[in-house]
Amino acid sequence: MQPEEIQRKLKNVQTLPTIPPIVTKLNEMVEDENTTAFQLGEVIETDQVLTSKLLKMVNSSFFGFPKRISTVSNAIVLLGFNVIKTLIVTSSIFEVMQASDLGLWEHSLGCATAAGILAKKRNITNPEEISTAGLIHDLGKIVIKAELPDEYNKILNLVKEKSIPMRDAELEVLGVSHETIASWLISNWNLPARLVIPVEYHHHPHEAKEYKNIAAICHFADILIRALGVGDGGDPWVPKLDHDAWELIKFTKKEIKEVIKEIEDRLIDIEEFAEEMQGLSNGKDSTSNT
Amino acid sequence: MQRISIKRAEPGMVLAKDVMAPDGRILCGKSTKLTPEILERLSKIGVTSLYVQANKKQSAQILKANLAQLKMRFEKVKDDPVLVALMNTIGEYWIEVQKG
Repeated sequence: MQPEEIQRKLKNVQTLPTIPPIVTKLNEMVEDENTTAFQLGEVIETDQVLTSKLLKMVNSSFFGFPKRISTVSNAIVLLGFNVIKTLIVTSSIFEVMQASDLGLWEHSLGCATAAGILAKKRNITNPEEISTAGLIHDLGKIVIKAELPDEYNKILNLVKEKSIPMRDAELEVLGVSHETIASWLISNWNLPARLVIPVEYHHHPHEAKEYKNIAAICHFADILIRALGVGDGGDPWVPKLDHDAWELIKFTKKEIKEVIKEIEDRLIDIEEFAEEMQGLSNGKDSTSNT
Repeated sequence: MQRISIKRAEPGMVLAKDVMAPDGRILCGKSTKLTPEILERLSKIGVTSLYVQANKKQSAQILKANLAQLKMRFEKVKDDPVLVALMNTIGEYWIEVQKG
């Protein structure tokens, strides 16, 4: 299959989002400098299902906020509009991922957690954006699985038969790999380069034209979370390190141990948190009906 | 409490934490004694790791299994000194945690 053909196929994707109308409206509002987070929050909160999904995500421990965020406008203030917009656009993809590939979901959550922690260690501004980039970095894999199931099965078989990394198998079967596919998709979402570049370059961050250090953080977060054996990225192996990128962010042994401790602690929280939020959203549903 | 890959978890081990679906549903409760059937079911759903209770002897066994798997995951990058150092750091960290 030629990349152009894949691109054509993916144009009519079923499971993946075209941009929800609400995001178009929010984008217009953001253009106006006078729009406040409160006003944006109000618009989002007209959609209860979206609001509950969004609050669940922003309260996930991978962002690491110690206090519960209970309103959308608060979430916008704390996380920034770009993060909120990304979570809205991708929420349907994550539902597909949660239902059909729990291992990849855990890998994504883990990578988000690691990326945020590593970004903070390097004093990168708005680490929540880097977490969000980590969360969506493997989005291309779920696109392949959902939209090109025959090719996806061929890829899985190749991984097994030849013992090669999933990305190599993708290149063999499709001629492109998941990060390129993801970049086609998210280029339509009007997201800032800080979020798009780490997704597109998470396997070869030194090739990024800007935000190399952020791409490098996502790259290393992916490596670290696979090394720790959290979740399932499609094959069991730690990917190759981009040494030029590593030079930009280099973590010492002591730093890495601190990072691992924080990741392992948060991973335990992630699950407890899911339970807590389940109770919360059940309670919320019953009050909203009255 | 120790995290263990589901591939290395064995019947008879006892869960130290609920295993949960992303929406918060409990797939298998804390204190459950694992059976081959439960392990197969969780593995089919896509659960990749579990937290289990362990006494000293079991802890040592789990650590050994985790270190073996760690090494396996680095198989394709074992010529990269930076990544080998990362592998050793992770192993060291796990050993330190075990010692308390």
